[in-house]
Amino acid sequence: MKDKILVIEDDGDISNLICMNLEAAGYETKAVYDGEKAAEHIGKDSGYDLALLDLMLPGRDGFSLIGPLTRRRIPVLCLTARGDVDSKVQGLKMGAEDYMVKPFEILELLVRVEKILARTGRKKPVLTFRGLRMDMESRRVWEEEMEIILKPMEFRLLTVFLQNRNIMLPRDRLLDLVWGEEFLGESRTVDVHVAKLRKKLRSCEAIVTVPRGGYLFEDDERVFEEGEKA
Amino acid sequence: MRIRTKIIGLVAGVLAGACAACGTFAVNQYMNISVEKAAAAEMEKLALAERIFGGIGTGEELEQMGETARNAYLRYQFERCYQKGYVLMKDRECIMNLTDYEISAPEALKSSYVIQRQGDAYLLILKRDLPYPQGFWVMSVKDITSTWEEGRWQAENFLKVFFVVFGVSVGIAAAVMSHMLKALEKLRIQAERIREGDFGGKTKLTSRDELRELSESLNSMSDQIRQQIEDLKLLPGAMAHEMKTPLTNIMGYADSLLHVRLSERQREQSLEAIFRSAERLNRMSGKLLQLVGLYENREIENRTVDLEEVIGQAYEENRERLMEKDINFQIQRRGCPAFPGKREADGQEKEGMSVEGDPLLLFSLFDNLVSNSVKAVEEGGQIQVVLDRNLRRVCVRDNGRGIPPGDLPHVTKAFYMVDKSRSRRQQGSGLGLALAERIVRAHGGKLEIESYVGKGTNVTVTFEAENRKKDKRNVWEERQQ
Repeated sequence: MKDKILVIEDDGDISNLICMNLEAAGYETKAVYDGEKAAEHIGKDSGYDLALLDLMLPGRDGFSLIGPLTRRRIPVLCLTARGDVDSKVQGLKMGAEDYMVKPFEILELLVRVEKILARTGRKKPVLTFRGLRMDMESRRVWEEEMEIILKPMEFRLLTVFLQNRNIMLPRDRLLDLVWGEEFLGESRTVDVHVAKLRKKLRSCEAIVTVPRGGYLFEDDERVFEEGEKA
Repeated sequence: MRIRTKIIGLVAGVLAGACAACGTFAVNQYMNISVEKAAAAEMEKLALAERIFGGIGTGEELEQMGETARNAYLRYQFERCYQKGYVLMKDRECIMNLTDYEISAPEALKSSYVIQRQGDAYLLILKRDLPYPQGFWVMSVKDITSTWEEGRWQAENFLKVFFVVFGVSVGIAAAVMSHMLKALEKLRIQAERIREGDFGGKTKLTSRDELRELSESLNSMSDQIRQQIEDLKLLPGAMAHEMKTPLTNIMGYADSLLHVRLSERQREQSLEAIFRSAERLNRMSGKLLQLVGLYENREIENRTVDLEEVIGQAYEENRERLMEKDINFQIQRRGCPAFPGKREADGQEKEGMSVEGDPLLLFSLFDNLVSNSVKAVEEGGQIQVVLDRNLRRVCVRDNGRGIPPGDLPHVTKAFYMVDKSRSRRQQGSGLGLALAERIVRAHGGKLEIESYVGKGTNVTVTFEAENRKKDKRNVWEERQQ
């Protein structure tokens, strides 16, 4: 039950880069390398939760794919080397949800993907990891069928970890993502909440402290899975 | 001072000078003739009167008379023979004055006639010695004011004509000038616009003269500058754009390696991708440097380069890929040898085809062309290099996929790629033909591309004829001396 993401990008390396990271973070991906084929593909299979679309494509202009994608209710995140305001505006006007200019940071890509999925109501309602189960709607957490009571910030922090597995999250980014950018707390706040999570949940042993970096939620299953696939 | 003022001033000055000289001469001449005529007529009258006067007695009779009697007699006779307007003189003494004027200083009358101004009137004064008695002479005083007035009227008329002619001529000159100057002004405005960086404007002069030639040169200069500036302007933008993909790869994969848990295999893949992208950046920078070098018109080495040798080097450079794709590569020679006797045993002419130029750049040219052909052909395809001595050209032909007609005019632009993803897969930078075109131009040659989709591409490089180039250089050297 993973979110499915269609990656339409002509450069093989960039496509692989995006897919690799999205898969590490827990998404299912499908790569298409050319505009014509992408149009054909979405005609056959439109069961995607999001499309990452490069605007400069061989065969068919990326802009012309925004329409067909949004008509099939697939939200579009444009990716392009063109940083000019005009093409941004054009892309957004045509119905794209968001816009990213190359080169981009991996974490930024993941956060944007997540935001779009949440905004368009495509986020899975339940997050799971080993015996852990999070219900996003009722905001309740179970571990081995036992309900655990989490404070709101603890719940949000755990959500961020589960949505960005295997990716190192620096403390300041966690502060931004969980507490919001206006929050003026110290990075100690993060440490305190992580400690609480580790105490309350056995599966939170998976949260690894990266020296001088931040925290990383290890999900070996996924890395192993990807390793197999690759 | 503006040219217009200068030229019109000059025209006016010359016209005024010429007219004044002619006018003065004509009026003068007219006056002289009139006066001369009057004088001649008067002289005749005098002579006539003199003949009558001569009948009054012989010289001897008069000698015998006493002075008083003689003078009285002469006075009487003079009044009878001459009329109003004459004076009888003896030496300096006035014997009988029949004029309305007082005679003073008669000795001043030296020539046969003189014109004197008396108030508003002009007088013609003539002198004629009487044959006898000794020392007597007759002075004629005639009012020639009317002749004089006529002369002045004539001069006034002339002045009027002069002003009309002068006005009309200056007017015509000014009109012609301003028309020409308008053209000049147009040229000036265009030059100004070029200075300000506006290369869009064109002057259209319809006159068939040097100004139009100048305008045409200016137009083509402006076009050329615009082209160059556009090329140069597009270059950094295109370059930045082309750099984005490898940079995205390098940054993204490095970011992943640093911050994401990846499997061993993924790590390897990431490192490989980083290396590939860095290589691509490196290739791009090398070609760019070459391209920019040519834009800056660096000193191009000038020596005799054997083209066959250079093409051989280009073949060596691409040999691996030629083998990989199992491509049939041929070099053909055409054109008569300079010395038919100088053939080697195998029938090949000994002297190859050579051009004056920079060996490294020429190598780069043919390397780019051959490498393009290698990319274009399918496995087992064909590439032919045809050297034509007589026409001084080299064709690089392939039976590859060809260039679509719509893309053909753009392929020599920097970073223009017909099929971006294919070009990237084949490690193209989008700079090869831009570079080739520049190199050929730097050698004073021409690059022509002919292509049909699915059939192949034929790139023809035509070099300038050797003697022409030499001529050019001679002219240059002469100019420098």
